[in-house]
Amino acid sequence: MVSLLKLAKITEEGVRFLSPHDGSPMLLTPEHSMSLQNSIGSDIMMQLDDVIATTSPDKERIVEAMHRSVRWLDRCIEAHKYPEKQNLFCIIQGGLDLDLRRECVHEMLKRDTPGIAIGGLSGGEEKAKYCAVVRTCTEMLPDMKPRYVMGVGYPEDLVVSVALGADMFDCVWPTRTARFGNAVTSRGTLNLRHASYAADFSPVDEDCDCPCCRSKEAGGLGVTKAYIHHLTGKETAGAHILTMHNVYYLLDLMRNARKAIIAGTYPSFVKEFFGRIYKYDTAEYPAWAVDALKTVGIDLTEA
Amino acid sequence: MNTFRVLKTAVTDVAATTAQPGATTARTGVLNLSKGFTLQTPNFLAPTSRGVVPHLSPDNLEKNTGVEGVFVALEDFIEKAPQRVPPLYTYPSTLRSFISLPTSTFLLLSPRRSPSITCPKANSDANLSILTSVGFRDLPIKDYVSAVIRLEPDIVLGITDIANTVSPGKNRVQKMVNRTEKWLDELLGRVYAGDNAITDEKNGGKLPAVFAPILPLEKERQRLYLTYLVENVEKLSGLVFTAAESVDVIPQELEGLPKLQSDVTGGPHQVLEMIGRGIDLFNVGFVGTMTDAGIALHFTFSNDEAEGTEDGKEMLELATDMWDAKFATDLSPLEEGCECYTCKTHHKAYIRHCLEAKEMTAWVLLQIHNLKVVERFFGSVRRSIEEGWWEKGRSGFEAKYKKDMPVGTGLGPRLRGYQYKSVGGEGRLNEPAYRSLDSGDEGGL
Repeated sequence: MVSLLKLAKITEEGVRFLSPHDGSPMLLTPEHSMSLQNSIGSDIMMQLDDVIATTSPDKERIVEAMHRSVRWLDRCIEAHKYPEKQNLFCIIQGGLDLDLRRECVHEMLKRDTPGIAIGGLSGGEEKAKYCAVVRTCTEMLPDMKPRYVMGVGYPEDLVVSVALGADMFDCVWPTRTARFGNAVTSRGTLNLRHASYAADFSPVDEDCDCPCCRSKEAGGLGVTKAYIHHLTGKETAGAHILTMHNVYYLLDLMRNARKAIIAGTYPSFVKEFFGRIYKYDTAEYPAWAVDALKTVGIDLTEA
Repeated sequence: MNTFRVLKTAVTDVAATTAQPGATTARTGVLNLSKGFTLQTPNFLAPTSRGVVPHLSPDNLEKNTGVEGVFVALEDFIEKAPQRVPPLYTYPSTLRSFISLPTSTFLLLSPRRSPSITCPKANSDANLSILTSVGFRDLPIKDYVSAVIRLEPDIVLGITDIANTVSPGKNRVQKMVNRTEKWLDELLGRVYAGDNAITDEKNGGKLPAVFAPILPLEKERQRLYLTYLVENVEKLSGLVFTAAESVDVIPQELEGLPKLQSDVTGGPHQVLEMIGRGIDLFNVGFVGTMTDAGIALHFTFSNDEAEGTEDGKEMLELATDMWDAKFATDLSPLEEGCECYTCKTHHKAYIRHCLEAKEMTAWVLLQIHNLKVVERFFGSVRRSIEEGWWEKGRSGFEAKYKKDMPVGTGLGPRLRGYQYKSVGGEGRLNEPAYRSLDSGDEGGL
């Protein structure tokens, strides 16, 4: 059970909160969570877990949450009605404490779920610590199971996490930020609400082949930054158009990452990716990314 | 060349020429715009906000609706002018390109939205009072006139000087008439400037079609203006009305022009009434209002026998509020047999779920469906006139459907200040969805 903790109470039984629809009290238990996901029929199901913000100073609570997540995983496995057709993923917890994470990985691997998620991250922790947790977990995980880092969606985080051995991600950021008028591009994120874009008649991303950026002649919509600026925050269609672009950009980024991995050229892919955002000025590269990539043998600073 | 030809009138049943006497009756026609668009009438235009048909990205508009023309207001693009030059004015291409309008859709440019918010400041001889997203501003008439040339709309509306009081006095009425004529004269002067007309022939006749406003006044009070219109009828391609009753004031010489009702808020009964008065084109504002309210339209204009509606049989609803909890598990389409994307792909329960979750998709799907209902409606009306069952269809429709649209109960998409005028003392417009657990009533838990 993720985030919005102020709005909920967690006990061994489950999570209590008020329905956002009618304000009525709700109780979500691991068993109920499984039954809901069984009736939805999703291909991947997530266990109910106990998440504490990694930035929380309450060490004891983080330890408790990790152990509770393991206990809840057992309850989820027990309650899962269709293990033959729906894949239940465990979620590794343990805050930023690497030993706690190792213990959690160790416990959860014993349960042999078809996929493994690394949870509790992306909550405002230091990027270097985030990378350390991802790397600590992926090192212990078996090769032939998908590793899913939850709540990650900034392009830099994706590219680095892939280098650290992660396979899958999910994030509301690309679409939410589109609704706020921010375009994710190969040259970084642009806040198109800014007045400087009001009369910028170039496509959102010159290098992008999405329906929004492609010219009319090439069968696209030929949308300009100025038009997004004109619509953002005022018309829902502005959000729709920019969402198309942002989702396309991220899918394309991952598609190219896969190609590079297969071709054995991932290190140069990463270098090109950071180079474009920071205009190849290595001094501008974020230190956390440079350091994290070094641990897997990619040196961003070398030409 | 922009041309309009009346094909058939409902009463006389003979092919009509342009100056059909007493043609204030339903009629079909064909409007040819110089840029290659052809429109069968009666027909509708979709209103836009800031250049988009609300909730529809241009690809959705093209792929999933049959919208043939859009009504665009210049006031949606002005922002802080004159302090800051609007981006649209420095854009190197046309308005159509600025808003990424599908190539198959024609564009009508109006100075103001329709219906427009009444501005506190009165118009002046040189300026029209408008409402932009940053507040009330002036739109210089000369700016509008030059925008018309540069932005290359397919149809352009003349500017009406409407008084910002409910019942303008005699002097103000006089001013309304004089200014509307003067402003139209400026517009026509610019469109047909110098050898523009000749150049236009060379360029394949690409001048915008100018629609002249008819004031919501008695015939007597706008007589001079009407005379001006008759004298310039060659330069006019249509007439635009704010009040349908005004069709009664127009002289016979103008009957051959297509007539546009700049806004319809009432719904299909009002449209039928206006078609009966000989109006050809409609800017269908009520569709967007219904979509925002989460209401799905479902009415059909047909040749069916009215089945015993006299003997107390209940009249049908024109539309249904999709917020209703009874649709939570209803897996049927919005309208049985509807061919729109929404009805072919989704069911009521999903749309209701999206509304409940305030997902924008709800309004996208409703807008696609609602526009399809209106498209079908106009198609049937045209067929009824051609096939000679218009009167029967109309009385059947009136007997079959309730007079009023249902009232929305749910929340629409987030309300924006520039879409409506605050009167003070209203509650919160957009309620927060989440509450803290501690502040809620936990009951027995």
